[in-house]
Amino acid sequence: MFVLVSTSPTYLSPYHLKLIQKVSAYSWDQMEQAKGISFNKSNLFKSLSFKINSKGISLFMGPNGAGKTVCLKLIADLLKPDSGKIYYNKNVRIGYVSQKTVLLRRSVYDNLLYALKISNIHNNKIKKMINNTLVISNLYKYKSSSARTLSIGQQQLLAIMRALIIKPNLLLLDEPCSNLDPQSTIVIESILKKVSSIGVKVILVTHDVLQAKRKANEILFIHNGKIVEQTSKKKFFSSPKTIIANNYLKGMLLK
Amino acid sequence: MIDYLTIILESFRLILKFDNELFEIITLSLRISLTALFISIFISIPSAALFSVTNFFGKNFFILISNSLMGLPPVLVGLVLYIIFSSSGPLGYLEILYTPTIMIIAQVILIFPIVFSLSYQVLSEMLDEYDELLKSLKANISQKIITITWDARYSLLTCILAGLGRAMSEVGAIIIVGGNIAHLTRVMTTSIALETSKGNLELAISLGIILILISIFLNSLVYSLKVIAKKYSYD
Repeated sequence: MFVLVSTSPTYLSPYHLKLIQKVSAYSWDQMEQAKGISFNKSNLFKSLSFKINSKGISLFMGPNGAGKTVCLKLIADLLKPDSGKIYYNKNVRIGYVSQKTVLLRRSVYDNLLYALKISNIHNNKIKKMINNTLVISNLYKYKSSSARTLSIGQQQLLAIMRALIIKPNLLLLDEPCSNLDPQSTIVIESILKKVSSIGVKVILVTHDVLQAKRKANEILFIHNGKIVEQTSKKKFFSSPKTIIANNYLKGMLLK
Repeated sequence: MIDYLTIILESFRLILKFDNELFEIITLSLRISLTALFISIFISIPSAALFSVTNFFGKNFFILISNSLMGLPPVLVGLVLYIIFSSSGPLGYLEILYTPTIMIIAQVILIFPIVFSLSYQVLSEMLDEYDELLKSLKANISQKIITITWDARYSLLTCILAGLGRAMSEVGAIIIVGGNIAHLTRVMTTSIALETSKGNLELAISLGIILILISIFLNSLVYSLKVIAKKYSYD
């Protein structure tokens, strides 16, 4: 079981992430003291606790500003909670794909090579690993091209492959298909399904209801920094427990 | 009245003649400015990268000072160095006043803030872009420094070029500490100042033209590199 527990108030806002990261460099205790000053109006999480199944694809859903990305970044260890703790059930190796695709100003091949080198994966099979990855993702012909000359979909795909090449057992993706055409979306979704089937835990952030219907095993619906519903895909779409989730699925504006 | 045409023709004649003295002046100029530039690059780019990836008390103050020193008056640097290194000064025993060594020191002091501040700007922007990726891959500080410096290399060329421009064109500091001694510390800019004051405009103009040509050559070299990098989207 993959568990995320926070026992006391956590104050986070996606609008102040940079500021928070700076504060966090000193002490998260100071955050609580700073609460009334800078974050009073935008406290996001208060005593957030949840557990995520260690298998399959789990999906954070919810409207803009609900706290999905912050949740994902907390799990990815890119943000530290001011209190509480995140527990993982085994030696976790995390692959993270951010909402905005960030590729190095290097060739497609070198982008993958970089991830391996930084993750201390050195062996004589590196070249083969990269070439295989490029073949699987249909990017082999762009091997020597600059990663930035790829189309948006291919860039997104490369970012996912870069996260996967380090062989993570937990893959976190923040809206990986937000700017993609249906074909590219299908390619990426099938890759996610495949890695999930070989035991990689996948956690996705999305507000794409159709994607959730297609791929999710479990749905965590977030609203105003609270997990208002956590259930199987089937239950969530057939009979959502909360009025908020029901309204969201109907396309109504949430308060 | 000044006969401009004769002066310009004469200056071109001097360039074409390209005698030993002219050659000596040009090579000394390049030797001093390029040495100063390389020393500055060696100190300022790694420290700018370190500043970009770390946070510490007083960092912003240091950046502010460096930014302010970009416009440091060369004569002031020359004067301070003169006081320190003159025979009665605290470091006078080193006896480097009126030698190319002190001219290099003066230029390093003038170039460092320019290359440092501009590089810091470039590298900070690069880190902003890469930060989340580097954090998610658990890159350590040295890996971060190497990554952003390597990937910003073409943009850093512009910072280096700005430093070289300052070194090549500067006259105030090196004329004080170098003394413009023939065959020893005479460089292009100090010669132009001297020849102009002597009324020897032909030689001054010919040196000026050569200075501009060198500057155009170096700029074109860097510009071509940037164009190539842009073409392959590495910039």
